[in-house]
Amino acid sequence: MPTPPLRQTEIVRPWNGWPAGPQKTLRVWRSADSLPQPLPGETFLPFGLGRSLSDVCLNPDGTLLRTPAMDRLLAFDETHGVIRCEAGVTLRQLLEFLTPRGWFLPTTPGTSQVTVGGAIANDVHGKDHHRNGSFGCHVTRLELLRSDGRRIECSPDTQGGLFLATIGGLGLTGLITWAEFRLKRMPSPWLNVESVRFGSLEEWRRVAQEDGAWEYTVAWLDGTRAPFPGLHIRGNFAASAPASYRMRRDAALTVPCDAPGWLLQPWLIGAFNRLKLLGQPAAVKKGRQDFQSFFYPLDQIGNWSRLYGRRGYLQYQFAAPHEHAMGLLQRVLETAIASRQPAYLVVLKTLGSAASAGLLSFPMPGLTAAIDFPNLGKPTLELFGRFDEMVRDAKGRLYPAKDPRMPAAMFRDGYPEWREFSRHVDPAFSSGFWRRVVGNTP
Amino acid sequence: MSKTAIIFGATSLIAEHTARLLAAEGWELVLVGRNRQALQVVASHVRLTGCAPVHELHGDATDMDSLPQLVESANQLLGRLDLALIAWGCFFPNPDARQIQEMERINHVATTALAKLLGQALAQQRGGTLAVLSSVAGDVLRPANYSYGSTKAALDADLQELRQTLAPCGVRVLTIKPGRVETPLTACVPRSPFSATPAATAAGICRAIQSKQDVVYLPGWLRAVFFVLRSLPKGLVKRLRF
Ligand SMILES: Cc1cc2nc3c(=O)[nH]c(=O)nc-3n(C[C@H](O)[C@H](O)[C@H](O)COP(=O)(O)OP(=O)(O)OC[C@H]3O[C@@H](n4cnc5c(N)ncnc54)[C@H](O)[C@@H]3O)c2cc1C
Ligand SMILES: NC(=O)c1ccc[n+]([C@@H]2O[C@H](COP(=O)([O-])OP(=O)(O)OC[C@H]3O[C@@H](n4cnc5c(N)ncnc54)[C@H](OP(=O)(O)O)[C@@H]3O)[C@@H](O)[C@H]2O)c1
Repeated sequence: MPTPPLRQTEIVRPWNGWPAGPQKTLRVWRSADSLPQPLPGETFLPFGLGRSLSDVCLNPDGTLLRTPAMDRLLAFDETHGVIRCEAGVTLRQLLEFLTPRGWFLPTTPGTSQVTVGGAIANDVHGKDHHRNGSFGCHVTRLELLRSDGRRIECSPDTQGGLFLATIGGLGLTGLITWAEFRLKRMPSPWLNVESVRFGSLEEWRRVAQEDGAWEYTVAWLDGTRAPFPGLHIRGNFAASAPASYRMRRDAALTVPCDAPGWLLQPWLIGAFNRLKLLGQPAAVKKGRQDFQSFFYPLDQIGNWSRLYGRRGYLQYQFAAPHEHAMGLLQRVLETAIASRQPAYLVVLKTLGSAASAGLLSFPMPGLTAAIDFPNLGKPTLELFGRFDEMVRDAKGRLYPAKDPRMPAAMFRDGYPEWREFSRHVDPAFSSGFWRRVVGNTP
Repeated sequence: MSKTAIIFGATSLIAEHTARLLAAEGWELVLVGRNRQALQVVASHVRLTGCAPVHELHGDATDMDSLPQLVESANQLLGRLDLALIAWGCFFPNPDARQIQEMERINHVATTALAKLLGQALAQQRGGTLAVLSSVAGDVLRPANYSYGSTKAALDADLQELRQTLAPCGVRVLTIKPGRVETPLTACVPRSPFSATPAATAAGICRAIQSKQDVVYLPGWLRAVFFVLRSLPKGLVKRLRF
């Protein structure tokens, strides 16, 4: 008789460092492996690289299914640009394989250190959402492994309901073992980049209206002072390659442990960001950047979130429809200043009208803002509570991947299809997030 | 002309990562495994990312009867062989009699039998490397590795004999001794904070293949650790809890 798989105990932290704690874990070594029988009362949750900033990737009192060994490429159609791989394959790994062959990810989040499974389960979006939609829009099929041992191949045409639930499904519909998705042609590893300085939110809106010809756009702004100046950055892949390109190693520098609390003083972060924003005196700067510097500037430093210390940081990310988004952003930033927890870094992206890929997908046509705050505990949570009201009034919603404290009501209001979704949840799968927002509601 | 290698137990995670690295350097490979589906998946990745042909050979080489046939098929596929790697292994914590027997059969008997056969083939072509995955567990026998350690110790002894036999024919026998690696083999015992990744271990194996060493520890500093542990008086070792 084979030895039953041992549940290991590991300290697991989400990327933002909070809430961290010991967790039971099991490794799934290959996509063809079966899941062990859950112990009485035990629930499972897949875990990719833990790059979420919330408890969507945690399952306290349950067991995490870790997938680092499920990292195999299964098939690649070089003519049509379609790849099939195991769900633990990282975007970094894909870039190493694809970019020398002239292909790129269909869309990408701001870090390449995420798994394909994680990218699907959070239906991640990138700087090109207005053009290309979210990651889930490009998935053609995937296989789910359910706790009852069934393997279900899902695509928009077969098992469509389960497919829609799994895109953005927060790991709750079962373990994605492999996925197939469409790629994007990459004419060269370089991008033509333009960065435009703006002095206020109003000015940003005008600048962003001229984005028509740009595939990738993002704005960084300084939330510490009204009227909120910043930089609007946009890029397009350059048509031809000047020279061959070798990808740089990630995490060339790594933060070894949590920084002491005094290190990352708010004024220091502020000074850093201002340097970044004001470091560009010209109103418009044009240049060329390789795709790593453009898409993943922070991947060079491993574990940088540990600079925030033991309590980590919290990100508040909302999406709201165009007509309310600017007013909402203004109110949120002003409230933060008034409560002496100014937002040092705000990242804005335009969300396009591409149909949302999954039942619980975060993007909606409009705007999304991601705002970083050091985690001061209660004061920060209270502040977020006030933001919640504003987001609800603006008919917006919060990003589960970024929110370890989202109240149940915010989730249910923001994602009215959650009831439909919950019918597809695997009875033996759960997460800290899911228990918080749904509790024991049938 | 590209170099050629055959890997037995190619579905082992350590072997799989070694195959990836070799293929990326342009080695032509024959991957042998008993689980056809797992072998296909391993091979598909190696084939996509590597830059030389990758062949699959399905069969259980630990089964004495099918062994000669497998080696023959491999010969036909590759012709000259630069490297043969045996990677399979099995481990049971607190084994019962049957499990002790199984570890002995896989880790020692089948491995040595295959090593001899491959050694002869390499000797006939007068050169090549025979690399075998053993373990540091063979160096110091301790309760946590009850019986597993002794199967690897026996394997080490057989490999030493083989090394002497084959040296005059220009064949090198490389004994690879990893410490704890994070693979399915050891998933049944609590994690160690010192575990290496299969990728790092594979990188060490590839370096060792290029070198002239006979016995390699992975990571390298384990050589010193186990030298000290081996030199301790037995009476003291008896009282150590590790
Ligand atoms: C620096 C940084 C920048 C970021 N930028 C963006 C951005 O621009 N846009 C954006 O959308 N997000 C962004 N994120 C968030 C990140 O992209 C997502 O949280 C992503 O899902 C993390 O992937 P992961 O592999 O680490 O998954 P984890 O965080 O480990 O897990 C995320 C979810 O995926 C599920 N999951 C993982 N593997 C599987 C599987 N095999 N089967 C089923 N479910 C699975 C988990 O259960 C969990 O619910 C950013 C994060 C960081 C740290
Ligand atoms: N992991 C460690 O900590 C560690 C440390 C030191 C040395 N090693 C050694 O490294 C080698 C590779 O192990 P690994 O860590 O990569 O483990 P692994 O991934 O679990 O691989 C084990 C391999 O052995 C094969 N195998 C197991 N039982 C078998 C049997 N009864 N008959 C035939 N084949 C069998 C498996 O084939 P299937 O896929 O068909 O099951 C698989 O190819 C082993 O020799 C091991 O002793 C490992």
